[in-house]
Amino acid sequence: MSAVPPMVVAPAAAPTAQAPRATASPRRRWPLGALLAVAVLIVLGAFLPALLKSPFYLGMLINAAILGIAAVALGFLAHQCGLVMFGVAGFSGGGAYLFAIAVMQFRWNVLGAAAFALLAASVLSALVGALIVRARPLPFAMLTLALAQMLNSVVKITQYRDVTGGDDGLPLNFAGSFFGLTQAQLARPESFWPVAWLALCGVMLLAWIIGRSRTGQVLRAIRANEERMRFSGFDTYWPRVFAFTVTGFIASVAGVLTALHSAFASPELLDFVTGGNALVAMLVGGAGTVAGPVLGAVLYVIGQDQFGASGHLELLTGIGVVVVIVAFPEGAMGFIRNTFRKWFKTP
Amino acid sequence: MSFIRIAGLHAGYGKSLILRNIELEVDEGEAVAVVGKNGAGKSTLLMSFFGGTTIRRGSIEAGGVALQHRPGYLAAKQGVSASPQGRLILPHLSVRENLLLGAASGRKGHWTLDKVYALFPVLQERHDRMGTALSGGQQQMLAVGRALLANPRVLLLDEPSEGLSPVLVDDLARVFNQIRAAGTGLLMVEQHLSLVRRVSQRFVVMAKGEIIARGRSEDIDSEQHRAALAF
Amino acid sequence: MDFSQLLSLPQLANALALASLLTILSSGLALIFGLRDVMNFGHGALYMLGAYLAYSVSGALGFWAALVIVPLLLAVVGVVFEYGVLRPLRKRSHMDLALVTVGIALIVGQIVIKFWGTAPLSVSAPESLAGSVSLFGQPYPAYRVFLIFVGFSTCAALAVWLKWTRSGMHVRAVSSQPEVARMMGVNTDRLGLLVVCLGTGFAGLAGVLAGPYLSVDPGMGATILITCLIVVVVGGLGSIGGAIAAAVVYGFIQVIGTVLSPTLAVLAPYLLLFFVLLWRPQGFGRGRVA
Repeated sequence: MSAVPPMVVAPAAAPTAQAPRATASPRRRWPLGALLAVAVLIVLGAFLPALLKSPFYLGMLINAAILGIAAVALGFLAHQCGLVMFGVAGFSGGGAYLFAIAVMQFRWNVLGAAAFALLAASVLSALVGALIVRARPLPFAMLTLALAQMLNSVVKITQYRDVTGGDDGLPLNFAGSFFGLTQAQLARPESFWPVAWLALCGVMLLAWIIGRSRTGQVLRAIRANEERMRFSGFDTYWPRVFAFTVTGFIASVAGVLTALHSAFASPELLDFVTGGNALVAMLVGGAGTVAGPVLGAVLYVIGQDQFGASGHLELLTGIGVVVVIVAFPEGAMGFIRNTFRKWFKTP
Repeated sequence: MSFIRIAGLHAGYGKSLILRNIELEVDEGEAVAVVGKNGAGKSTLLMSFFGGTTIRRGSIEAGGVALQHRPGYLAAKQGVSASPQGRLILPHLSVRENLLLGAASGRKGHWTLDKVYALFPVLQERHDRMGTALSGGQQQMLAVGRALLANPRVLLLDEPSEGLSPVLVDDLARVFNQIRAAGTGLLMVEQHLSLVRRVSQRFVVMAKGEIIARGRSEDIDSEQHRAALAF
Repeated sequence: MDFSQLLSLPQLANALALASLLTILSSGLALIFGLRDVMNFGHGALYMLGAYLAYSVSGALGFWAALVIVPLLLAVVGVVFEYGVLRPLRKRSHMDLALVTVGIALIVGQIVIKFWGTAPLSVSAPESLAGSVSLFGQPYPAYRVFLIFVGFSTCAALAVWLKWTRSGMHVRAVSSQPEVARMMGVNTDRLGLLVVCLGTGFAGLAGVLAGPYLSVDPGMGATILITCLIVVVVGGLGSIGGAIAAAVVYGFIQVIGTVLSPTLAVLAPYLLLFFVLLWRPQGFGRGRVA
């Protein structure tokens, strides 16, 4: 048992080249009713500010959503590939900085800058992934950590201050509107919430769809036994590069959202401590489901609110990590899932 | 009572079960051979002494002390040492260091570094070479010498003749008989039937993880046992 | 570019001082990895704990007492680490253990803050080392010379132990092929405990030595951890000699590189790490302690 969640594989052997569908675990056909209910929930969720007026709590939920997005990215990679990224901050922070540079240096409008940031981050993820995805889990984790730290250090180099803002970070001024919202509006929790919420739902959907697809099955089979898959004729490299790219993309969404909302890009975003928060959220929530990391993010943000001032947050985080790894490797969600096993089956 | 007693042993690796219901005894001063085809579980049997397998049921005792579910280094302390399959000489240690490693259990007795050098003079000549910078036959001597330095009461040998020329196998047989004459028991996994006949008094045949036949080594050529070996 | 300034003795000595601290820390990390197969992400936190303990112990009993007591205290922490964490979790994956050590790093960090607060502390060098010595005609802080001396002699002692003693040989054997060593009767549990305590003790030693040289603040653990990880990996996991060499190279890159090209100095260690980890895409093989 491991904190990188065990996958559910049917008793028959790993998928053969002919019929992966037949031997992989059965995909639950979601009844139309349930799908419609989810769609309605997503739409309704965007209107939360109508119910919840407090900017403080909305702000907290926005933080939870953004953290959740980063955690979903981590969880996706962990579940599909069995790889843990210590340096997710590099991709989320990187997304923020790419957006910042596009806005401040290239002087693009907000929509273009956001699109650029996401695209560039995805391309860079693909390149990095192509290099590192074959590493064993621990070296892989360290490589991502090194990458994040490297970006962190580069951004702080005084020579590049004009572009990156150096130690102090880069305040942003962006023109134009983001789907009808101006910079001022984006800064307000009530108006930003729909953006964050829909982005969260979007990435969860993306992760879920890929997880259920054939690519997802292949990825998990590779995770179980890479050699066997290779000998069975599957390409074990490109699917993983793809998964890594998706992960980097999702993480960069979190970063772009942060930049949009706070109109600021700071080196803390690239600090591995920040990345650590998302990692903790994923571990505590459990990577076995798409929702697990989000649950973890919510718990984390609540914890931050309760304990942030007293400094106990880090202590609790540390204890939480140890407890989760030792006793609840599948995280809170996994625990819930195991308790109500028949209601939750993973793709 | 025999020094080594294996009773009802069921063991394997992880989730797989390889050995089933092994019953075997080896006493000091006697040599028992384990024969059988590849994959029969012979090496698994030897590895079970050193915590290398998951033991599901049964027991392995050396001198009355249970070895199952105990740390692997206990066996050497109790007087069971081994020359494992593939010899497993440590490449980053010198020949001398490899030998001294065998004395890690701290058991005192007849065998000292000098005595081992006397038995295998070539090891003394090459004592400061790296352990794997030796020929196959020399590595086998190193493995045996290393195991002897634990002053074992029973010595386990896994395919000692593997990859060796007939002349070297002859030398080995002589050395093994010498060791046995000095009072040490031998449990030897071997495919080389002439070695089996020359060194051991009795043998067991293993197939698919079970012992399917036993007999006296002098009978090992008879029809019956040939057939059992072809299993 | 004034090369004579670049390669001046003080610059070289600075590089060596930094390297010296790193070698002690990295040797400990390499030992723990080589023998217990655990990448201890809490090593930086232990170093920090050592520095803070040294602050208090020096305050009460003086620097020299701290130099002896703190590593011993950290060795005790090593015992707790071995029995409380490493033994119970020995069947878990590398990743799980690494994550647990991350959790421990956070916990230790908070304990430090709880007892000593968040403000940076200053630790001064002992009287006898507070002045300067003349290094080939140029004045140079005596403490740094001491640091260089202690650092490299510790490593020399470690190397001697590994190469020429029985237990050192056993450590080398276990780090390269633990199953064979166990078969030969090496008590790997006891040896593992010894090595872990040595590793944590070294972290404590580095912490004591760092006090008067670098700053003592709650971030010091995290900062040096990354560097340490890079040094250990580039040096060849589990290889003490490699870690020492890598630490020296790192020291030079930092000190000299900052003058030459800050960008390169910053990037070089990470690029080196990348390169080394990718060169062996199968990643960490069993390190050999040598």
